[in-house]
Amino acid sequence: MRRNEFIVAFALGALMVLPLSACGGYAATTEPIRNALSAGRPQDGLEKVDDALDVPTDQDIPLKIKEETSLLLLERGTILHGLADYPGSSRDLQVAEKHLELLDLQNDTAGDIGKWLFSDTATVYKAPAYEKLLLNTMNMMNYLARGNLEDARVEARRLTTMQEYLKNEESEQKALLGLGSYLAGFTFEMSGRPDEAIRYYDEALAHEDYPSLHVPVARLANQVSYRTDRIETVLQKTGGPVQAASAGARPATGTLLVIPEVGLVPHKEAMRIPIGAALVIAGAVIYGPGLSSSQRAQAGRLAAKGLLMWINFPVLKDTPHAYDNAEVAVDGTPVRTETGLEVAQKVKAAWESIKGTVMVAAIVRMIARALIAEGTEAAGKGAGAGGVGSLLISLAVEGAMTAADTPDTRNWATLPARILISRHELPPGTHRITVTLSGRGGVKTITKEVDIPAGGFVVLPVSALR
Amino acid sequence: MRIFGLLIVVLALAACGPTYVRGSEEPKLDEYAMSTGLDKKDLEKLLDENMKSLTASAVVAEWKTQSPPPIVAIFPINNETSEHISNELDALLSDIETRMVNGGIAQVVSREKQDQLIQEVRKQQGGAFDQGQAASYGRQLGAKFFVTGKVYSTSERTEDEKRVQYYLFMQVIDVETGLVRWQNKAAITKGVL
Repeated sequence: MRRNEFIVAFALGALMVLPLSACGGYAATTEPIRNALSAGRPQDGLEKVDDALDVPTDQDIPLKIKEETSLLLLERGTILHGLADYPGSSRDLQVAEKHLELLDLQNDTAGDIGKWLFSDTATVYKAPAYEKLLLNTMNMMNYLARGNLEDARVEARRLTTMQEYLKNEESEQKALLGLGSYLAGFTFEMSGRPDEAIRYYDEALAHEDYPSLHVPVARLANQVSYRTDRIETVLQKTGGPVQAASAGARPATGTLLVIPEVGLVPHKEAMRIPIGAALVIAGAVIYGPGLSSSQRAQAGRLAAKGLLMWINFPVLKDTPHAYDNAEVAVDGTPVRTETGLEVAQKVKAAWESIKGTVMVAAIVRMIARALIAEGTEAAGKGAGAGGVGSLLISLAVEGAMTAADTPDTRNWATLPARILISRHELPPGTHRITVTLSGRGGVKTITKEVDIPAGGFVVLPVSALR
Repeated sequence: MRIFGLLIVVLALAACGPTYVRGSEEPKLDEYAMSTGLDKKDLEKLLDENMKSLTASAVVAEWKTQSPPPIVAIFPINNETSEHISNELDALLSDIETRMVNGGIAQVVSREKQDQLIQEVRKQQGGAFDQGQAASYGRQLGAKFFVTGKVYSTSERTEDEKRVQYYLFMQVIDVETGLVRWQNKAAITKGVL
């Protein structure tokens, strides 16, 4: 077989094989799950995750952890959390965390090479900073909802380890998640450990000025000497440290922390982007090297020849959801509710910070493939195919290669878009808590009765999924 | 014939799934680490080191001169680590009890009586055992001494490594005086490289 004939045969073989490797990726796997949640059918969503995990019930963990298992366990853990199955949620989040940690520590040389040759999905999933921090935050909520301070403290410490790592490896800003530090502070405050509590609250205040923390911080400041500028600012607002109940005296109140969770974070979807727009995105690289001038020129030349027209690329899309706001009332009286964390904003910011870098890899891959297609066209001519025939072969090869490039649509897609906080000191006894959800789905009211112990606490996550 | 051979290979590969085993069938099962948490082997090592120190201590020498030996309560070991190991630590209490009773070191307050008090205390303390109140609990149980402790850890990670250093710290405290009569610390390190 002559060389040119071999290239044509190779290209035609590639045409047949490459489309087989193209699939919808993680977005396609989670589409039925997201659809079920968007339609307000969390139980159905749970069944869809079990199908994807290939397990009979939501109490089963797959024996073999495959590529998407960790992420799917995060999805199931979030739905179970929303349905108030806190032990089930903790189990899933902990198994997922263990495997994500191993993936994170893995030296992924093959994936790193594959990213430049085949697809971003060739790499193992390395969770972005906000997902890592939210994992411990969600699990802390699971334990607090059960009144289990000991394990909530474990999650708070895990959060700290991750924050330290992110501070060293990424940036101080990425290591901060106000809600995580808020809940960690709450955990230690309720454990009677003011020194640790005030430090976590200080971290939370560095992220956001939570008005509900002012009085607790002033109370803790009365017990410990820890001070920062932020603590001093809070003390100015409260008029100095606040006297706590004297030791031995029976506290007159207990603490209620309602945590409404609404909406769904944006998810990633694959989209074909024209090369011109792709080059603009690649020009906005924040981390890592951008496209070299020769790569840009090469992309332009191949585009002019019609060999590089489109880039398969993941884009963030809003996930439809029924409710995006929540108000809380205690015993029929509306009470203050504040933003705990705008999760959707974190998702968008994280994607914006890496979008350019991901696009550079996608363009480099497509340049390599277009060069193969160009070679195919030349070889086709050499092998005796006519001008139109060789062009058709090269276009078909380029098309098949584009289809084979599965954009990386992996992200923790079932997280709530917003997490709110409503914290109050209440007299001990039974109280009726009403959470009113509102949004495109209209208005929905969820009512729960809670028993507040004197000097104790109740944490009540209320998910719009419920 | 060739097809038959291929079929055997395919069937053999298809059968290569996970299999349940007993420790007795797989002697190395307890040997390798499966996580950065504390497993049976780690806990045994930490406890061995502490019990060796306790057995050789002045307070145990003193107990051995008394007849009958004093009553000792064993209180929960607090989990101050970044791992969910509360169940493992509860199991450790039984090991401490067994070693003290079988070694003739002391008389130990029945677990049932103790568990009841501990559950009550945990309910009041939000899942934690307040060691500051331990003397008062000891008196309620009629104990002269109590054994207690905590496990704490320092956890660090880099881009491709994680290390968790554990310390099991144990103490014997005189219920009446509140004086620490013995204490020791044993350490172990786990990691992912």
